[in-house]
Amino acid sequence: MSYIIACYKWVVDEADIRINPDLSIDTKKSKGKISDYDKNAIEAAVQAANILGGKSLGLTFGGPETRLSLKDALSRGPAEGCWISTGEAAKADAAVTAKALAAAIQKISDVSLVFCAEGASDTYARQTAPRIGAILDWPVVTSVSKLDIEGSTLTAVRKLDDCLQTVKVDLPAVVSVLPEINDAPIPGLKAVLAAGKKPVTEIKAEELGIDFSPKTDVTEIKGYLMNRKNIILSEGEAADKVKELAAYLRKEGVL
Amino acid sequence: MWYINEDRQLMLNVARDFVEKEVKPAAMEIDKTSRFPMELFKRAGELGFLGITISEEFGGLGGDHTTLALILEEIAKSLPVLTVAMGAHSLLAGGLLNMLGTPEQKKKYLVPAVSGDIIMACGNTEASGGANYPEHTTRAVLEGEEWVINGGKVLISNIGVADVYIVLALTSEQLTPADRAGMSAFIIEAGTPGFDVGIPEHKLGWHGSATGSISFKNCRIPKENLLGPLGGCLQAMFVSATDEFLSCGPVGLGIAEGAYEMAFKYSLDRVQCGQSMFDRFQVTRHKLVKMYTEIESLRALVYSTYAMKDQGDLCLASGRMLKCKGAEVSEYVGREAIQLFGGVGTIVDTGVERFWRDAKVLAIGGASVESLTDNIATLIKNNMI
Repeated sequence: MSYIIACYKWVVDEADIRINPDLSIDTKKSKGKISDYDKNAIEAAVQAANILGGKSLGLTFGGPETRLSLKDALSRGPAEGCWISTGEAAKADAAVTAKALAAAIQKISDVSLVFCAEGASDTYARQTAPRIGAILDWPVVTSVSKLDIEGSTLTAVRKLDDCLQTVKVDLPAVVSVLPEINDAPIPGLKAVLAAGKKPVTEIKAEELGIDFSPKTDVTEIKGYLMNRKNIILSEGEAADKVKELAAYLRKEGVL
Repeated sequence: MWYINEDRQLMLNVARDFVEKEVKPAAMEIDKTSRFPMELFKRAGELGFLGITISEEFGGLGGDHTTLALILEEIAKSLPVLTVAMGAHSLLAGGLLNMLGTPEQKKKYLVPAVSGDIIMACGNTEASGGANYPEHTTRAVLEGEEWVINGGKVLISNIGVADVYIVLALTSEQLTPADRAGMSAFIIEAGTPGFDVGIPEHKLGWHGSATGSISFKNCRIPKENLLGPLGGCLQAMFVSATDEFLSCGPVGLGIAEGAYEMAFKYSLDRVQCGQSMFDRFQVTRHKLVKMYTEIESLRALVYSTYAMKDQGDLCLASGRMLKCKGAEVSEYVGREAIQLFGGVGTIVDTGVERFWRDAKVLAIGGASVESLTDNIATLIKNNMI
């Protein structure tokens, strides 16, 4: 039975992130969570597996803390889980992540469709799906807001900046979905407990035989501060205030 | 937190998602209109919140009481009245059905109650008092193959929306004080001839709990709707009531946290004389610290008591203590939160005063803290703690 894979990322919960006065980021008390957008990718994979008669699988790449994600991911519907484990994941860039995920997909072998979210809620780099597709040499469809599957043909509506584009591809393919692709349901408590009984495969990253050296270095992550100018246009007629406002906005480069 | 393991964290996340996406957006409207939160109650059933401690055989999760406490706390942070509806359904009516029901009765009523397909209410309190059983007047008499019930109950939650009522009635001339024998429980379906449901009362708090009177005039129900032993339901009622008292701990904790979070945020946002209230006024900081300390004290008591419950302790005294402390802390924090908001705190649309209103009812609904304190004294004297 063919696999329909949802790639997901275990990220720091942004609600727990603190920005220090020097704008450095404090994540010491942050808990992890599945990237919000990836919940839609997981749901898309579960739905596609029902249509294709395949088996949905949640695939993730990460360090020891990522183990916590498996039950959560599986409670959302996938039949199986797969975790590419490595202590080096924290240093991985988009290229390394895609290489690891693609290598695991090749190892799983009988795969008809791979879903990713358009981006992760921490970096939103939007690179995973295109890079996996490039490595596997499969068609890639990004920014998908709607899709239909008939036989081995996938029809997807892509939501671009200025238009909706409908494309057809033959499977296997890699698809990155936008949040509006579906309403990722909240799993019930029974699904949470049942998730612990679903099969999970751990692949040691070293087994995949790939180069884990990142090509990019993250030298610094800083928070940003919104400094408001607090200018109140209170004098004169409304028409004058509008002109003055427009002048300010032009000066700031907004218009 | 020491009481949160991996499974509990995941289940807590489910509750958080539910509250964030579905409960919060509806909370103010439900408080203002006093409508029963039907769609949220049904969702609670779908998500498994209505059968956490019920065995898997009857559709439940077979889970522990601490998980239930976590879910109740989380919901109470945003909409305490939903936990009231859940408590009347799952802990009072559901508790009696689970303890006393035959396998057939459980299959017929408990299974759909756990999934939220039916709603239940528990008819216990009478005008003479909730636990003042010697003066209760609702009676059931067996005539042939039917029980005939006459009498009435007051301040019953989930009336009108409930499909099934678990009702206590005297089945002997009077209650035997020594062993409290003579009171029986019955399953009465909504719409049974002779069974009338009143109009929900307009209350200070718990808006939407559908609390009011029910009455019986020659109400005939099948003989097999007797729940548990004839004349012997009060021990089970004592246990299910204790579970409900216990739940007032996490519910009170959630109410207090909901009010505190609003007050803390307001103290940071509200600028007076160029500074936030928090930075400018020592009294603001001290109030918040005291509120926070009370919340954390209650949290410690809630989860240590629930740990005892999970180890098999009935928590007869500690359950009542939890209700008293939950009510006290939530009322205090709710009151102080309004005080920190100042004038706008008294405006309903601000959304902070409803926590105090719900806390106030928590101190009375189900059993007043005064009557429970007397119970605790008796339990202490008889070395039953």
